[in-house]
Amino acid sequence: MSRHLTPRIRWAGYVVVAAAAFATAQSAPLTIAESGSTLIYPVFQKWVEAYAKSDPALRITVAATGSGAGIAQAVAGHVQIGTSDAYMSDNQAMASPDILNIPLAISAQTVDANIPELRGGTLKLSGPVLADIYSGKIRSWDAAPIAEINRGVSLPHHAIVPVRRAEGAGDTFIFTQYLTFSTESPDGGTQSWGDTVGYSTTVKWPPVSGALTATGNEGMVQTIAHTPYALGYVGASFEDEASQAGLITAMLRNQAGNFLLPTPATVSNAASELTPRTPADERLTLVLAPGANSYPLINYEYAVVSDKQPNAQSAGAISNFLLWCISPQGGNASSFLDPVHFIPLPTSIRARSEIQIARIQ
Amino acid sequence: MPDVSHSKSEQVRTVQDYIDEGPIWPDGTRLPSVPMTQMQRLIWMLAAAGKFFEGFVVFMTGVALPLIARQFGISPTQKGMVAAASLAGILVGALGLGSLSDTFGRKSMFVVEMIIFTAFLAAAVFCTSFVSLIICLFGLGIALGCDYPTAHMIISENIPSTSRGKLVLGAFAFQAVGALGGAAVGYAVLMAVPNLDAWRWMYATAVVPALLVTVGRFFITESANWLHTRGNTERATEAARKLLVRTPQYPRNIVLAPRPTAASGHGHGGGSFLSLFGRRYRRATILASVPWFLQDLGTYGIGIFTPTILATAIGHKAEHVRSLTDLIANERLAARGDAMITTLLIIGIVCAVLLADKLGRIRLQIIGFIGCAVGLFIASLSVDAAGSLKIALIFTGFMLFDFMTNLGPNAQTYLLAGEVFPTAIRGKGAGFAAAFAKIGAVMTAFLFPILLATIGTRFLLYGLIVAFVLGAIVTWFFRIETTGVNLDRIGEEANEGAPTTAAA
Repeated sequence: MSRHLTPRIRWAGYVVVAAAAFATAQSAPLTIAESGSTLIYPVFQKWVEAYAKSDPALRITVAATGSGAGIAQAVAGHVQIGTSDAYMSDNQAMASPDILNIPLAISAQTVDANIPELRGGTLKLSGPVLADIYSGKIRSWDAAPIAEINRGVSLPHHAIVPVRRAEGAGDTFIFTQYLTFSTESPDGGTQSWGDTVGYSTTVKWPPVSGALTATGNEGMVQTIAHTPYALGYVGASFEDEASQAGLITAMLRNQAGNFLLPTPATVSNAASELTPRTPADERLTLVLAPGANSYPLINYEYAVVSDKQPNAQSAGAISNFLLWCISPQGGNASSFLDPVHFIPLPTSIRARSEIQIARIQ
Repeated sequence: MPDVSHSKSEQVRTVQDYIDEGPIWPDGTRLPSVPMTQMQRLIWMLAAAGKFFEGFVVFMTGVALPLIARQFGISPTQKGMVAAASLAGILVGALGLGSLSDTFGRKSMFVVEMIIFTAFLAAAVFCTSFVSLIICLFGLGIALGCDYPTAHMIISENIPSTSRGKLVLGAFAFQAVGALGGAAVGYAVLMAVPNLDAWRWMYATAVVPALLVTVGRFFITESANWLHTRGNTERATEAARKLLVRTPQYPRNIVLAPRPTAASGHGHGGGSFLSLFGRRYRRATILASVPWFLQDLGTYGIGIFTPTILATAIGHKAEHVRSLTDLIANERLAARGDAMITTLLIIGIVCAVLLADKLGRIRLQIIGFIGCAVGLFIASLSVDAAGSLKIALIFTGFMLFDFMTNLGPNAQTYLLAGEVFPTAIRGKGAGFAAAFAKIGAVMTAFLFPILLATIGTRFLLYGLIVAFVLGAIVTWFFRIETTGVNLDRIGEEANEGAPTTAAA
């Protein structure tokens, strides 16, 4: 027998190997990695579980690392989808023109306090008052600026413990933007928050003795719950946990001067005031919307995705998943959004998101 | 061929006498006016072009700043430093470089300032940080400061006395035309490049034209007036000949008598900065500086109403900048608003150009100061008014102020500052006046918000009315009428400390 295969047998061998490789490729599940916002994490997890039923071949991993990390990892190409409560800054967007900021839903943020004496009661807070608390100018719960907007409420004479997020967080971006916008007007005190601190996913917080830090929304709720007289900002998706822990969700002063709680009506009203101003790249802040009945702390929840994927298969899988997420019959259905107190994207914004998703190649 | 014979009277004629002399044809016909030579036109155009680009770039910086602030993450406090950098540059430029023209010549500084301007403008296009931006704006400020006295002198020392007012102010008006051009270009750039880098393109549009102006300035003659004052009679004669080339040639020959140099301490002045405050020049220094300072006060005062005027005329800005699109839209609104205000400014200056040589600087400055005071008073009545009456009062007061300041003190203080000092110390005197006014401007910029908070709009405006009436009084009390007067005569009479009467 010849030690050399005949050409016919050799060709047959190639065909078998190629077929086997093709079959392996077909059967191997495609994996997409997500990382980022802790605010969207609870609903994102549920989206992934539900989507697995319609595309079993696709595997999506999720990680609640914070919005700052979500953006950074998506830009670096370490994950296919970064999630963020904040859009990328102008400089980040200019440095990475291939990265899209795609709104998936509209979220809200609450400001929660642990005041045992007021459990079950109401508490009103405003941007300038919060700015002064986080600057250390207002130190006690019964300080005059708080008492002034809470007439008839018996406030305790206890030091306020402001809690901040430790990691780069979209929640910090939204909260500090509220402080910035609401202290821009002359009634915002002697020096505005924007002058001294500004807004970002991480900011240089003014030193306040006794202030605490927490990681993630879950960490924020636990820290406030375990610290009497603490105050912090919490994503709406953790509102139920905050409520169960006995925290008071503050009524916040909006642009029109009214104090409101986040409800489907006040969040939708704020969204309808501002979503028409959404530009083509969809990077828009919804904080402190105009309108008498607009809750001031709302935001787009973003998927941060590169429009240049390594192959068509990956691009197609990401596009299909994101299209499902923003669909009213998919991820934007009330069965997903209501439990986390999100609201669906308005039709016009869903159309803009679809245009951006179509760019993923 | 030049006539080599000359009378005795020709021997004592000054450069300005030759420049002012109306040509007489061989048949004895005297021309009714003195036609500009090609060199005079070139000098004027290059000075006006410089003013144009100054207005262009100053405007651009106003439009560019919010974009730059967003790109470099500049805080409001740092924005204050940006304004301070430009101002510091203007002070250094006006006092330092402007006065150097008394030593190194008008042409030298005219060229140097444009090189500085173009270099820092080009560098500004490529700024990558807050610090590099501050450096560029400081550099541009130096060029701007230097140009205050230099552009004035290069024109006024090279053109006939009778048209000096309209030609100097005509060039000055190009600063406003440049601002209007800047508005148009800024708007177009924001439409074409609606992103954070738009400000780089705005600066970039001016680089090549500025370079051409720089090159053009190498081809002009040095001021014969200055050379003569320095005792360099030969070069002065040569410069005067180059300046006054006509076909047929007139004057046919130029003969300048040797003059004692400034350094010798005789004749037409010269001396240090301190001499500006001595008995000899005190009158001129007060007339050039104090009204200019007072005029700058009022400009800030009326600025209180600018947001109302703009919001009413062209619409409100976004309540908060929520996206880059919002920022660009705000910038476009600002460009349109500035264009509207600049148009008012140009109307006033055009009137000043037409009237300066007819009514006289002093009269126009006094009329302007009083008109501004009336404008401020009308605007102050808006404090108690409401609704459409309030808007009408603000608009009337604002527009009257804007017209009167440009007809009067804004234009005339600039004109007078370059005329009331003798040639040898003109750079120092005009430079000091510009710098003094800018110090006043920055002081009021810092003090106004505090005063507004403590005494309120009404009393602040009353204070400014008093300042403007004071401006009119100071102008009258220290008056030196320069309309149509030979610059050399102005020098002599400033020395004597007596008011010069109009000779036009």
